[in-house]
Amino acid sequence: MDKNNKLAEKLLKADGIDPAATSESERLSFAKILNRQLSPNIWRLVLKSQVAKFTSAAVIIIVLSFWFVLNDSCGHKQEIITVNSKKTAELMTLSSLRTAMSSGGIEAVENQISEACILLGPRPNNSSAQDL
Amino acid sequence: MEFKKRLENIVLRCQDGERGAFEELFEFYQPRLKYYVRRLDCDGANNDDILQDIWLTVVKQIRQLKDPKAVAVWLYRIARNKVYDGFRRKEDFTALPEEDELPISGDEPIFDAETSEKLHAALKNLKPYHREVLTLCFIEQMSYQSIAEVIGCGIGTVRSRIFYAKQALRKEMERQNG
Repeated sequence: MDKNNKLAEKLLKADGIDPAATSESERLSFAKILNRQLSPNIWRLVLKSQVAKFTSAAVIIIVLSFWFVLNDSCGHKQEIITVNSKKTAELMTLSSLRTAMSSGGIEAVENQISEACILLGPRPNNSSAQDL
Repeated sequence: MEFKKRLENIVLRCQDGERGAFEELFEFYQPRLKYYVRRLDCDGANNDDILQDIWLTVVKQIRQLKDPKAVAVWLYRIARNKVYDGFRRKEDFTALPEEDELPISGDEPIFDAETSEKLHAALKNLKPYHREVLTLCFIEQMSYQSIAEVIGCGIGTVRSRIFYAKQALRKEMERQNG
């Protein structure tokens, strides 16, 4: 780079400064500044490109939609109740009790019944043992 | 003209975050800024720190530079502010005295490259505000308008300050010659 400025160059030389080059230590310290400041910034990259902008917006919308669907509380509870009731019914069927008896004896049957009772919870006052 | 266009291109590339462009800008301006900082703060032991601080600001803020043509003014203004920040941190800081704008009379002395050694030596003995405007004038060949923007005063003040600075410089050179 030449600016054709002899007076400036001579003044710099008179002060012991090389007008055409910088010292190694100066270059190194400037390189450190550049390394720190020019490290890739994801948001800068996103804001720079139109495609990246739309893609990131789409990703955010999809993630939010999934989050709302997964956190739908009513549907979630209903599913759990269904699973529990299925499990309790299975535990109390004659065939399941017979299987428990053959595999682990009376202890296994008692365990299965108490597990079913825990799942069913306390008996309501308005229903008889026969109803249950 | 070609130089100005090239410099403008370098600045635009810097604003795009191109590392090579920053290195080119640094290679060109670092010696000049060093000379300027040394003239402002002759006894400064931490001029290297000031220069690093200047470049850190340049790298951080170059995107805010709206007109790439004004890069020299912008750089020297940052440099001046950094040097003055250093002055303010010192306990014995007093602001530079501002010279009254006096009517200009007589011819303005002309200096050439042949007398650069003597000119450099004489600069040291000038008043700080004379030394500053002459440094910008000699090193960057800035217009009065640009110098006014760097030092933050009116163009008339710059014109008269340069005139009296050059006269003081000629007297100092004559005194040194005996």
